[in-house]
Amino acid sequence: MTEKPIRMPSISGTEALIIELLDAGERFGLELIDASEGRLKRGTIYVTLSRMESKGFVVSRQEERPAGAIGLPRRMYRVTGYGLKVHQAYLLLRDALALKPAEAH
Amino acid sequence: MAGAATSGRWFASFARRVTRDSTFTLLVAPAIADLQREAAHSWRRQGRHYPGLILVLTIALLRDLRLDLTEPFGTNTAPAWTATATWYLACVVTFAGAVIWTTPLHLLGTAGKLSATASAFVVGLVAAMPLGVTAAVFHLRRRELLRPRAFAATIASFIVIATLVHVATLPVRSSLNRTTYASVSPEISREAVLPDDPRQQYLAVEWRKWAGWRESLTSTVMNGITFPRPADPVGIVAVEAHFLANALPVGFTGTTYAAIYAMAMTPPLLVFGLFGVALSRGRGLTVLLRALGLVTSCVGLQLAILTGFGVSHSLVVMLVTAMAWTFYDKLPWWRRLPTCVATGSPR
Repeated sequence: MTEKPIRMPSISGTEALIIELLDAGERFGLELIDASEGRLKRGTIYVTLSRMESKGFVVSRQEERPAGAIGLPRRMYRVTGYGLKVHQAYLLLRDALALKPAEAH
Repeated sequence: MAGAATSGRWFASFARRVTRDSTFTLLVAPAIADLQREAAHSWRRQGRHYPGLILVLTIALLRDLRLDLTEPFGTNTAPAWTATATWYLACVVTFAGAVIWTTPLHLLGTAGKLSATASAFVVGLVAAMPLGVTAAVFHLRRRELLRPRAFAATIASFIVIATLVHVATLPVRSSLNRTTYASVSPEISREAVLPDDPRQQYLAVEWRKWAGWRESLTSTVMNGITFPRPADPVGIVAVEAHFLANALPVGFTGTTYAAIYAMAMTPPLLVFGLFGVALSRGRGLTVLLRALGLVTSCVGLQLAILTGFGVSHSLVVMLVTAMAWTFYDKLPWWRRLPTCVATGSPR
């Protein structure tokens, strides 16, 4: 009987950057754009965050606001333990693949 | 700060209507909330946010469309598809049987018999598609396996599938028709000569009887297979208007863009899909009566057009059917009439 292959989680460069930015604490989308210094774009950040949430890398909640506040509440994002682990594995893999064959010994 | 809160309000209202609740909450609302915060700073920063919002909404719509298209084919929809397949196969057999019944197999050679029978089943496969669509939508809706907003995408996918089946079977049908045509006895014609021998005269009567069938087959072989069309341009407009009127009150999305979908997709298959939606809203006798109303209304309209009465008589047929349904129900007439006119059936 053959074992079922384990599905490896995938993480993109943008997702890794978002996890790095969220490591400092809970943030909302616009804060992430400002903190990224132009590396994250307004059109893609929310889609990426939504995808990361479905992958389990981040969790989100609506901000608490005083009663009677108008407008939509912002969504605050926080990195999960799983997200951090995948990110660490990603960094290790990236560093290992960046090695030249001679440096690997 | 009030200006900040009102920025993007219209955008939020529009996005809330066209996207799924979960998509709006997780994807679109955060972007709008950030826009409202940006508005507190400057118009310039706010202006930079709008292209991003449009991109987010586009991606959200595409994501929802994918979900809408896959929803009817999920793993929990198997019972609905089993019931649909049963209905569809029954319709295929019925239509194929009707075609075979109207084919003079006894006047064809062996090859002709085989090709005519095979052709009848292929015709059955195509002809049963609209009723199959009705059955699919009916069973998916009855079992609450399909959200109202997914109807448009589901029916559109059925239209694409049905059209592909129709187009894919055209070469097969043409080939089978040519084989049948080659097997047809040349004596089958309106000018069949009556033999002198009285015992043989019945053959000529039989040949004359099937002359119309042979002429139809010849036309199909010579001109190719075409999509069935109503008899005249006025008729087409009347049929389309009736179909559109059917689509509007069903309210499969509950929003105004139901009307846009209805206008954009008026091929007959859409109507059959909407029949499925309308029929699924009742049980037992109500379903039967509603189906009868829809079928009577459409058949009456088609007959009025095909027999050359034109659009005014067609409208009379629709109104008479609607009035019949109006008086059937027990609600006040002014509440029933608009729906009955539009759907040809009681609420």
